[in-house]
Amino acid sequence: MTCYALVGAGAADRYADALLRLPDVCVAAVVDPDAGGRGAAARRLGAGLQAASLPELLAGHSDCCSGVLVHGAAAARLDDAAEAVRHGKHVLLELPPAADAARLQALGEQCAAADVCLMVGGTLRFLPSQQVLKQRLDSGKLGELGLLRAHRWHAAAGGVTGSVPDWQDLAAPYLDLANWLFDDRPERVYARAAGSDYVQIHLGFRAGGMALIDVSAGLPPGDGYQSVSVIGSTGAGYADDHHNRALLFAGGNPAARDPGEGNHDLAGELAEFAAAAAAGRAAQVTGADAHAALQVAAAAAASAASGDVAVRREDRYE
Amino acid sequence: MSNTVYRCAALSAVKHDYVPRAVHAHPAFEVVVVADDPQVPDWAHERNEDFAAELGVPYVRDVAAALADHGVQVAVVSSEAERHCDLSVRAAEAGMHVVQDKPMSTSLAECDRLVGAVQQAGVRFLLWNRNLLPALVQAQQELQRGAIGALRAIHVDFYFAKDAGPPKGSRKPGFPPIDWLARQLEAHADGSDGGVGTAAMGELQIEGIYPLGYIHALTGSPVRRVFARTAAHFHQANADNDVDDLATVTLEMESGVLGSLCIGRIGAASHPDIGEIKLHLVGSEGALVVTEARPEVGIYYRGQPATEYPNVRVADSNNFLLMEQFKTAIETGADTLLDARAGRDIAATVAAAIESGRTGQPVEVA
Repeated sequence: MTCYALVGAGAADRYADALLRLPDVCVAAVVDPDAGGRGAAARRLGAGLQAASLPELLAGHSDCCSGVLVHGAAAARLDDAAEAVRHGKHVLLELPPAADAARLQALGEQCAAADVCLMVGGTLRFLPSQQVLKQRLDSGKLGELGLLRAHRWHAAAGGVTGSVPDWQDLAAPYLDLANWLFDDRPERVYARAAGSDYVQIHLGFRAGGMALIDVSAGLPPGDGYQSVSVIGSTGAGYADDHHNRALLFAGGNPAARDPGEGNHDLAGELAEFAAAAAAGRAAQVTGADAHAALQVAAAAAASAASGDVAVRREDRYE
Repeated sequence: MSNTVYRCAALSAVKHDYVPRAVHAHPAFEVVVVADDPQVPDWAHERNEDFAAELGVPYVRDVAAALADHGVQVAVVSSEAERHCDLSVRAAEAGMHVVQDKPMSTSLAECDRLVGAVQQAGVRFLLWNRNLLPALVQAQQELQRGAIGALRAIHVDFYFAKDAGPPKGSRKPGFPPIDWLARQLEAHADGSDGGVGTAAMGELQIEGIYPLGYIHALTGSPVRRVFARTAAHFHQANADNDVDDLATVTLEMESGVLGSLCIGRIGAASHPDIGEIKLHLVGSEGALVVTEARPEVGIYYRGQPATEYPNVRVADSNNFLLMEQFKTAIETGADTLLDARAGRDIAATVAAAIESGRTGQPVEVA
């Protein structure tokens, strides 16, 4: 049995569902400053230990876990991850805020020095829909990827941080998706924003590849929307909420109901983290991968502010 | 509205004869003559003659004579793109109202000349478009009633799931590049010859009018600035002739609305229908996702030919409504749905996008 400590009680429900698929993985401890929340989460997950902070947990129970699942408040994620590494723990870190790109890079170096696994979660790579797109691209069925088109619209209070959403943070998983699908980083980044809750980002990859991503955090309360299309030289794939919604007739105009993709992504992420840590290999989403996505987000922010194209020069954008 | 039936001349029908057919199908318009210039190549004369024979009208190898001798009030131009504006200018100068196939031209200077000629003659000009497809009409109605608040951004995907000859990379060493016109003439059989002419055109030039026409109709604003990526990704003919078959464009409208366009001739294997054509509208109070092809009926059966689209569009009144509105414009002096100025602005947007694709930099629309 591989045991982890979970930082952030808010992720407990999703983990409880994901763990049903992973009989060899457990959550042994829950860390959260809110006593009520962590107590409920610990009961939900069958965790025997609780602590208000990660230093507190690891000071007294360092041997309770081989790794730490870091899902707490965005501002504290890098601190918690660094604390875990100091105790020799593997780290599954939810994608940190774009502003933490430099600290994420430093964390990666820290993990390498400590010989622990760092995997970044909260990307789109383990969503079943995106897995299918990636597999079909990798199989060669769609030919050479020419275009990625993605739309992602959140409700106004539905940012990944749970607070006022920042479009850089909302866009980062899609920028990682673009890097992953193209297996590269963009050469050119051009972005236009409207207020703090809407952006469209235009990416140019080598050999003519291109991506257009728009992210909005301005929908009225309710479901969000996601559409991802990949256009290859011999085929295309469309993963589109528009296609996948059911219609509910209950008077007036029908409502569209999204069956969703469940917690398959988290289960996949956790399984990969456990496997990578056990094998002593790099995880499928490394700190460097996430850092690259956050770099593109930063380049997009600079472009949106200046109206200029950000051009890649080796490992940075100008 | 009058009961007048307008007499029309089809000035060249070498490309998409659906435009003169659509005009002829409206009860207020009748194609009474097909005409073209005498020096056009034999294949063009043959197509014109075939179309005239089908309608049972004369084919005249003299545009000016056809306009003068057949009591014509409307010219319908459906030639190669590089001749569009010249034929339209001559028709306007002869006092004809003009319906012209897309694209407006391969030359922005020609577009400007046409804008001037139409204005000078005081005639109505309609650039053919799809802005009155049922899904587009509904989108306009939703916007107008404020369903999503003020429009903030509009995105159009316009992928044509058609092939265009041999795939990119198929030309063997020592073989010559594909001749653009020869390829287009060959493509006439399956209707994929939207780029017919001697001047090679990419998808932005050939089809860009449609999605940009949607954006024009829904925003009412010209485009101020673009950033584009373009590539010849699919087809050898496009690669050989250095024109795009895949493009993405960021659009910044004068009104402040943002937008984008993804366009490509993505190959017949890439979609079960004519292609994924969608609009995504983001407003201050909500958002709207529209599939352009709806409503449609899916038909699938054993032995179905690969060339037959399984999804059949229904209740499509676009062509009828375009001509109905054109008749109104003629009789009231109102603007047409896509007039010469708007068509010219779209051509300028396309030209800026092509330049941006070449330079890798944002370009102000002229």
